[in-house]
Amino acid sequence: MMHTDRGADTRVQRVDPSTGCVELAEFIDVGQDLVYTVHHLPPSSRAGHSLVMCSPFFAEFPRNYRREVLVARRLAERGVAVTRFHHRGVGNSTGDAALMGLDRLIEDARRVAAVAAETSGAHSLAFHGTRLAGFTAAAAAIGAQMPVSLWEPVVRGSKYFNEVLRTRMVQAVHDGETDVSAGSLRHELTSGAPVDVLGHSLHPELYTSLHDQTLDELLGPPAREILVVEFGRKRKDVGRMIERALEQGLTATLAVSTESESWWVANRRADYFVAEERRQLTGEVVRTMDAWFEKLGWTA
Amino acid sequence: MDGMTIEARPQRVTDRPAFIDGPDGSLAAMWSLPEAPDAKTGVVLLSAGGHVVHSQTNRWGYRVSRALASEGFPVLRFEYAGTGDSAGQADTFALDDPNAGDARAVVAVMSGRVERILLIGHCYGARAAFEVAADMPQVSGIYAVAPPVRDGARGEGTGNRMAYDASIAGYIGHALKAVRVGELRSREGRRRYRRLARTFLTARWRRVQRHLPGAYEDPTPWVSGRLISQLQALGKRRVPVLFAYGSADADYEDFAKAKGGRLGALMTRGKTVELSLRDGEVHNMSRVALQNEMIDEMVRWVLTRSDGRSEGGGGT
Repeated sequence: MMHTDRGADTRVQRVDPSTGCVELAEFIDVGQDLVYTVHHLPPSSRAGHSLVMCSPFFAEFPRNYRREVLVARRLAERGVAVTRFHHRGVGNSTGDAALMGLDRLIEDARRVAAVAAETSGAHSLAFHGTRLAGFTAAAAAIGAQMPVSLWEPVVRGSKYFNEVLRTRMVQAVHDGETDVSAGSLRHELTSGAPVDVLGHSLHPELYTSLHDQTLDELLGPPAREILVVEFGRKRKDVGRMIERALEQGLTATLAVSTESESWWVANRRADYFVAEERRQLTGEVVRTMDAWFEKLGWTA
Repeated sequence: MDGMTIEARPQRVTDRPAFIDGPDGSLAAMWSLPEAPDAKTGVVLLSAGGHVVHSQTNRWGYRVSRALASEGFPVLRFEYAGTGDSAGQADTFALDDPNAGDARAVVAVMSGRVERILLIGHCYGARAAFEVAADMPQVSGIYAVAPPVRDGARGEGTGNRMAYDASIAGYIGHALKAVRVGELRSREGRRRYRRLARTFLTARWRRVQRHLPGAYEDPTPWVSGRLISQLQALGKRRVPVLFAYGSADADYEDFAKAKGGRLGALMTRGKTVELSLRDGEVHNMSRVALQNEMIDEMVRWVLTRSDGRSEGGGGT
């Protein structure tokens, strides 16, 4: 059981007595806003390495949340400091989601990385991104030889948004709306109006800034280590992305878990009956991350 | 669309993270605090079970917390053990055992700041709110978003409904069709089938009881007896409860039927239980416009309750 240790009002921490790891939650300033950040710190006072985790968006944000927490706890136990955060306009952070575009996502990630390095004392840094946040992780790490890990990465922005808009069209069919089409939704976005997808606001700024982006362009060069974890199956476009990354001199590791994830809707009856954090899948991801950091020489 | 739904408020709001000691480990929580908090009334938000973080879908938890804080109320929201940033491991999210220990720990922290507490609970969180309110006198009102009136764990709704509504052959046919060898191999799968079997046997026993001489014939035997007892206790204390549903919610269908039994009698008798019904589906909060409407209604409801009035407002 973890015990509470109340620090200054804006910053609280607790220590896990079984591992000695510290979890420190705080708000950090980014522009005019405050970004909610949780640092997972190894028991020793200074970590050599630090990982910054960029979370996915919309329905995928809560779906992946606990997995990120458990991976962060495990890596901290193994000596790697991990910092997780909510982008401006997302989760507990302040800010207007309508202003969220690629530039602002990168700015958030880099500011958090600077605080993460200062807090943990780490001398080397890696980024992680899940789904669309792979773009953020890749772009934030560009210009340096930082390792990047990616879970179920989105390879092309246009494909991701097509899937999101398709979800909205399925909702329209369910609700008996007859005037919703891919064209009308794209028109809304390009004319500056947000689209409501299952209760999540997709804003034009995010759509337009990421629609034409591709992950391999954001990843490199320069040469770096990347880890790609696919959930349940290896997608063809991910295979091609890895090939292009290898051509550019990156070193890629691919892992495929035995279980898949349904990101937007529960598409299998069994989804309801498994524990909240999908223990088998999460366990595999934890082990994969652990092994990759060991390969990098970051953990003992 | 994602901004505040309430007009500009007089008070500046500060959010502060917190860790609260719960029975199964430290719980991640968030305060939304006004500059000059109301010393009398505070609000605690209780999330639905499952893949939920306390900021909620499209941040409706964050937005309602800040809207209420800007009206002067301290607000606390949290994540159950084993979810979000909390410690521990989550279990089945059973409605008759809805992590009340976690909720009590959080309400106790709020009790240190204010005289009375209003609870806003969503689905499973509403059932946790009823559990807590029944034995914590400082709770003075509950706004319940789409609360299930049946017992059971996540994903067992169909099986539980069939236990009461279907024939024995139909029920067994459904169970066999649903059985997957893999599921029965897991401990959780076996536990789920044991729970469903218990519900089925309870349903059959209640049918038999109805035919015993002098027995009270409850037309809604499937309504949670625990929930009815809690509502009775709250009624005696004149604690107002608002049930908020959408007409398309499966839980509203149950609620509407339940009004034909003991729940209806409670609503008529005490006048402390109200219904707020709107078109469509409320349970999943799957429309931004709906989220905004709900936030507005929650704020109005809290404002009404904090004035010390015990009835009226919010319901339709």
